[in-house]
Amino acid sequence: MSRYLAVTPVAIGLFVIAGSAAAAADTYTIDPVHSQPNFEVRHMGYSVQRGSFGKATGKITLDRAAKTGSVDVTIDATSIKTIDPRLDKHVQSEDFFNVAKYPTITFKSTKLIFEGDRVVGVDGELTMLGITKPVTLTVDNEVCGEHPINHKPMCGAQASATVKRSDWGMKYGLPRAVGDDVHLIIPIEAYKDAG
Amino acid sequence: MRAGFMIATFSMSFAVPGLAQETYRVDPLHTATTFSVSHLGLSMQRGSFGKTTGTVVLDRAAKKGSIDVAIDAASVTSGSPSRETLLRGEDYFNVGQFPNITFKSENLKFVGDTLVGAEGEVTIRGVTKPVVLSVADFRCAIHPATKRPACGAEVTASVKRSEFGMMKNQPSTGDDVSILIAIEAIQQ
Repeated sequence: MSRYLAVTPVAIGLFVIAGSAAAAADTYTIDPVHSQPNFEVRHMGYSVQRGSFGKATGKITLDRAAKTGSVDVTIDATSIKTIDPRLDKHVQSEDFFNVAKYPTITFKSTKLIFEGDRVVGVDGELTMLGITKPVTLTVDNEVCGEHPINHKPMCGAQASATVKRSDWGMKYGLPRAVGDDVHLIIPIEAYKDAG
Repeated sequence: MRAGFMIATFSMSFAVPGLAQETYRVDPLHTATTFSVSHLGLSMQRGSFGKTTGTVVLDRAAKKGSIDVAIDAASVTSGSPSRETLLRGEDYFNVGQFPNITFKSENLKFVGDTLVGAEGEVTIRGVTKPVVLSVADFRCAIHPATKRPACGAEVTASVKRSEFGMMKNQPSTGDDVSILIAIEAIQQ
């Protein structure tokens, strides 16, 4: 327990909470409002265009002692937002996410990568457009603490990865109009489940 | 050095030696300002402004130019309707009273004939402060759809929101705001 306290960085405005070393795995529920996946893709070679998904839900389990855990996240594909309603319609269409046929995107993992007792990566599988491919997320700044207002224990982190959208059959605008490499930036906040 | 400059000039397919000053209009469909701010020290939350209008004037030969853009403050999005209502409200961008965020500069920085930065003034909530923009990935080419010369870039800056009187929820929501601007502009 003291080791956990020692290595967990104290976030501003938060009180570090002691992990329960005895309990095996803790389960966390993702806070959808603060866990919206962002993506970046090059447009025409001119600029990097950005968008995000407003709704991501799911669970994370962590067993720091055993250095194991799991991630099971579902993203509502229809919640995609760009900077313009016209672009929103286009990315929801068959050219891109085909949300009518594939309303959800999922990410599942049973292999968390630890450094000490901090999570630094997740090896998982991303299912999009009905195709499942492996994706490794890099996890930075994994921090746990207590919410300053509601006092619930929670953890946060920043996950990132770069994927090739063509791996999932999303080929519209390749190679030049819209880039193949998509950079994912995913803030995560998750509340510890009671019990 | 001289040779390098010549190559750089010729690589700009539309560089016209006689015509010094080029005026570009911001393409609102591909120009957006994204901001990133720490939440509880746990995660970096993002939001963006989708509607930007304005012009960029470049005189590469003289290494001068100007930027005059306005961001529609009410176009802020953050993926959460309740948070967007807060952001438009008096505690944050107060869009009823201050519908526009503006940036103006007449001090552009070039390396060779590539734009690399701009020093100017940003006005948020009616408060005007100096700000330095870094410009990366500045590139120009004929736009395949409009057949006109167009330029794009990735612009970054950082501001402290408290300098604009935006004190709400400090420090649980951070004071330092990172700004990422995707910009595309088409020559007029």
